[in-house]
Amino acid sequence: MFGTLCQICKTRPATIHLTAIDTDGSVVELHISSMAARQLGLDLHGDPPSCEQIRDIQRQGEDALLGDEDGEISSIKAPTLTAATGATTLSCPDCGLIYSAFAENNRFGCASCYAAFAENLDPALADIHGSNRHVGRVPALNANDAERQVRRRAHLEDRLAQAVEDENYEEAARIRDLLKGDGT
Amino acid sequence: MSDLSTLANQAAGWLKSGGEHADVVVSSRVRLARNVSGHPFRRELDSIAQEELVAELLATVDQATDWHDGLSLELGELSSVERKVLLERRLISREMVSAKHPGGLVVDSDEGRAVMINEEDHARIQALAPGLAVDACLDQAVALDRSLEHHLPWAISTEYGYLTSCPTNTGTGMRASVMMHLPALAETKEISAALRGIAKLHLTVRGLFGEGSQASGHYYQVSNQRTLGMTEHDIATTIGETVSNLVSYEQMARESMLNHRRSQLEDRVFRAWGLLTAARRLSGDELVDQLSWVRLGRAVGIVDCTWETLDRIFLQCQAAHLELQHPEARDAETRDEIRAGLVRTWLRQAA
Ligand SMILES: [Zn+2]
Ligand SMILES: [Zn+2]
Repeated sequence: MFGTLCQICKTRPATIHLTAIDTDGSVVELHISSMAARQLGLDLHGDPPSCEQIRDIQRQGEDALLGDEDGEISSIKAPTLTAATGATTLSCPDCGLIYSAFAENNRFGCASCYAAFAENLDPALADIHGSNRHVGRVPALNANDAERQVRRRAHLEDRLAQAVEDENYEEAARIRDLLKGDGT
Repeated sequence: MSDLSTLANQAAGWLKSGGEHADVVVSSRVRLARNVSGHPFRRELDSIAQEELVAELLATVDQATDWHDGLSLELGELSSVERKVLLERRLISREMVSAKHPGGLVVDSDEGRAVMINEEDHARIQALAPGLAVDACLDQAVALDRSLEHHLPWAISTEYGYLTSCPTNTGTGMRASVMMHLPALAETKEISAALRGIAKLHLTVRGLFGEGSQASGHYYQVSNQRTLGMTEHDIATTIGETVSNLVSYEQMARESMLNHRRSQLEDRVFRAWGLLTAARRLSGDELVDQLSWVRLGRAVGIVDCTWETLDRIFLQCQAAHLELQHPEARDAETRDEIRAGLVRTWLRQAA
């Protein structure tokens, strides 16, 4: 009734079906959800993947897509991270990490890396989180609650507009609830 | 609590009956990733600097928390089995079990609050509780963060919030996760329909056991994916509402099983009960599978047995727990025999 389940997350319906014939004539198949495809960064418009690529996806998927026991999926990379070619020569003045190494490993070297890579970071963080500005808590010493509240509402309103534009009504309803409920 | 074997022998605070929706939600957790300002992140620190940082953080966290009867551990001083016990109790990450770099853990006596030191970030503050309790975990974690921030200047920026090693944690540094037991949805294949809307809410779900195979044991973990551009409260609300919805889908699926396929369900539950009370050898996977049916049977009133017993079996029959308590259980076969023996004894006592 619900068709095949995604072979990677085993929870969502598989909507993408990859098939290739190996040199010995055997068929290599992988059925995955669009969510898995997106998180694995599959290019669905390019050439169909080879057997080897399908097997790689399978391995990679099982290792990385499900996240660690914390639910953290640290392999999610923003496409804009590697696309920012103009900035590959940037480096962090404090820890010396160069931008291309950051884009490769998806890990910062120190807190100063954020400022050093700021121009590429805004689009990359927006890719990952749908936003590139913090609206949550700060240490008591840094707190300026009124200002953060204003910023939070502004961001939620932006996201609401975006969700409506994307026809993502579940997300839109959720954000409306958050705006209405405003318990924080 | 004086040492690790005392810890391994006790019930975990986060795995106790009485939590909200305890028949469907096993436990909730919130963790906050933090780094100390002025120190590079772990990957850019050499091992001596990491050792110094771990020692400094252990001392500071100890002093700031003042948890009587808690444990403060340098992971390097533990055996591999002891570290696996901490993993099985959800106190450290899988990465920390095999890590070559120094690390530490400070945990309170009922394992409701802990700080993991020098994982990917300098500190990971966490709060765990039984049942659906994301808001309560968030309150606990924030209170702990408040007491630490007086002693430790966290790396933060106005634009990006708490600065973390990986950009997927930036902002709140918050990961909320809820462990759910969804046997009826999984068995009726309605799970994919029930989970369909979740990705749109930027939450992820993973099966908890038997990865790579059919998710066994019917356990699922729901977590938030986004950490930036939402407040901690918004993240907790989103995940709490989603979990509540899943709880009612699961309860409907259980009702429907009871109404339409009662004898099939009873058969499955009693087979599991029979197997667990009679088997002479039990692997960890088989136990998780069969125990799942017994839990379902207990939840819908087919078998009578205390939740405490089921929780105890769930926690203490994991491989490293057995190995720590029973030194002879080093090889898998002996372990399977000891596991089967304990399960038989505990179920008989509880029935
Ligand atoms: Zn999937
Ligand atoms: Zn840096």
